[in-house]
Amino acid sequence: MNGFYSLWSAPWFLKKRNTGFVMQDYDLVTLLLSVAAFEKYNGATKLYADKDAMAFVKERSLERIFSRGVEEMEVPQWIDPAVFWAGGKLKALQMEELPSVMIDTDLIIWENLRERLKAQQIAVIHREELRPQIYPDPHSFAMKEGYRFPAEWDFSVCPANTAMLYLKDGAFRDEYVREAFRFMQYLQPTTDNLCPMVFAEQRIMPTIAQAKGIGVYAFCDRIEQLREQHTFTHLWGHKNVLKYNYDERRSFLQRCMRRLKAEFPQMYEVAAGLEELEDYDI
Amino acid sequence: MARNSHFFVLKYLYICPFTDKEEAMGKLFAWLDRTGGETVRDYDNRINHLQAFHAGYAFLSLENYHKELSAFAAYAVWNGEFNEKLDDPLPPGGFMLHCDLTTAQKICARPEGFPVFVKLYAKRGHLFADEMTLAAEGQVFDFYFNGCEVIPPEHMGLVFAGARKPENAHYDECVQESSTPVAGKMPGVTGTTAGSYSGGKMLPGSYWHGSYWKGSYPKGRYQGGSYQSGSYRGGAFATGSYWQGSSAGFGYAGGFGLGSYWHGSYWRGSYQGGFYRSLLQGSYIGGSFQNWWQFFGGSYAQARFGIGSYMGGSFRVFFVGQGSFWQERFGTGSFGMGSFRLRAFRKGSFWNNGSGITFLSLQKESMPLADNGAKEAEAKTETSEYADVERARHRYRYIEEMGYGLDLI
Repeated sequence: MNGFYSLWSAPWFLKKRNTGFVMQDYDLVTLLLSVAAFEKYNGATKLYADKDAMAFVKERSLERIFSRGVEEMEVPQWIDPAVFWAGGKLKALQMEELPSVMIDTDLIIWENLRERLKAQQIAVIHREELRPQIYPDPHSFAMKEGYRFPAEWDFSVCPANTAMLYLKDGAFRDEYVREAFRFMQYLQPTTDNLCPMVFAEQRIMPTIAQAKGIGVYAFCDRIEQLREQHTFTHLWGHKNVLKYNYDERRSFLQRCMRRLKAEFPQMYEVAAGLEELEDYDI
Repeated sequence: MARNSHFFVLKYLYICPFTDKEEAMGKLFAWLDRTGGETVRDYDNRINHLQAFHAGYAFLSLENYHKELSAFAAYAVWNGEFNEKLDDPLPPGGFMLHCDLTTAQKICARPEGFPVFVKLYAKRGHLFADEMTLAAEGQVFDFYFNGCEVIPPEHMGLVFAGARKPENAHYDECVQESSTPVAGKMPGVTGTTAGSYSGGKMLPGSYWHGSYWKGSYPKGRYQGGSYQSGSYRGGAFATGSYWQGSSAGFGYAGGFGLGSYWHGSYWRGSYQGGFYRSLLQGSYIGGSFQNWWQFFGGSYAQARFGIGSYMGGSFRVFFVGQGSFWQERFGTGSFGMGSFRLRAFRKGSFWNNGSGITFLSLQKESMPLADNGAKEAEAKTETSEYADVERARHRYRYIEEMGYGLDLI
């Protein structure tokens, strides 16, 4: 089973205009672990990256860790990276050959998923609750003239978290990406960087699936179950801790390096050669 | 209780009106910048050997105290200029510290906030906040970010607003207005701390306020340790009446304590001419650079540099050839990481017997690792033991809920 990752630099440049694109050390080591684990337990990986992100990858010769290689992507200019900061994922999904697993760079999959995905068309890591502060009534979005939500969409369908998304069918993928992009294009300019993004990424997909009568398999039905499972590591909000708590960051990086060393010696060699991680190789 | 929603909008958006703010604010932490001729490695070395310094204040209130955890969720206000220099500027919320209820009640009786000291860490030219401590009631507390939720304490309104009540007369010098934009602040922390002066001591936040210092205080009221915790602004000293009165210098030599800062502009004309100017201008001093007068007067052998002292710029030239001094006086870890490089010191022996070497050895011994060629099983065992320690620490700090499956690594 194939998997793929994506890196889009535009959201980065919104905050750090004066520097080139870089991945933080904890992002980098997590990606290495993720790729190593996926290649070991599931299959070949590929990276899609825009020009600046690709430069970062190639400067460090990281293209070698993806057994299906890397490919440059061009995310449409009209996607506002401040609002749709995960727009690069959808572009990468559009380019990927299916079936495949879309994996966030902060997600590690520790088990073989083949058996569990064999009979599925669509699979996600978990479903989300329809909390109105995060998933408001879609009709409350200020849309440009000419946009209409498809009549067959049922907005009572629970959103699906796509930190890991398995898609089998290219036709479904095409419709999902097309509708997500259409929503992005027609949204009036906004500073809300949460609700529109999660609508496009996490709500349109299961809504289309439901309209088409396709089931969406979730590894966890409730988010609480994530704390009891042994398949996924998702850094999620922990990245904020790593960002502001250097003590924690240091120990996390050391732990990751140890794990690489213990279980993925080839990837460890790559990690040990990276300047970003040299201080944590103990 | 830990959640990832720790960005808050400050309820009390009161801001000090800086008079000469742009210029002065830009200079206060200039020593955190890379200087023109400084390589990335030299910069990292310099920063990594600085002592922790005063970078902000934490406001505590009992409504943010969790008895079941014996911990405070703290609201922090950072020096905006300092914060802007960090690669990842620190947020106001999400910090925690542990203390028992008795101590908590004692701490909360003081509404002005407590100084937070930050150890900096530089890597490849990028600046990060490392370990943080909070000083309160004669104790030092581990102050760390775990993303916890915090309610901005109500009493911050008083401190921030500088309410002009008789009992708060000492706040009057800091006239504050709401929504005045101030450069270099975190979103949600646009309010800088109020200038607050009381009884001859600098209270938290005073160093933000430019107008506060302008010659308005009588001579000699700030003797001794009143200035500790880095409560200085560059330009203010040049005109402040206090400094003219006590320019003999010796009286406050010890007052430049933890995190003190002074800038060339302070020295211009106020001190003994060109010698000091050339020595100090453009230099940076972080940490406890003590007894400086003796140092500058040439009797360097009697000078003592506290832990974490650092000198740069023209000091290096000054010390060329005086190697024995360093060996005798810097053996406390100040430069003891084994990687600090100042060619001007020219004393290899310091590095060989400094505590830094010992530190590195201890670190390796206390964290047994498999060699490169060790069997995987051994490495896994060690990883597992290490993970146990990590898990225990996470539990203590209530960090584990911020992601999931973290213990699978």
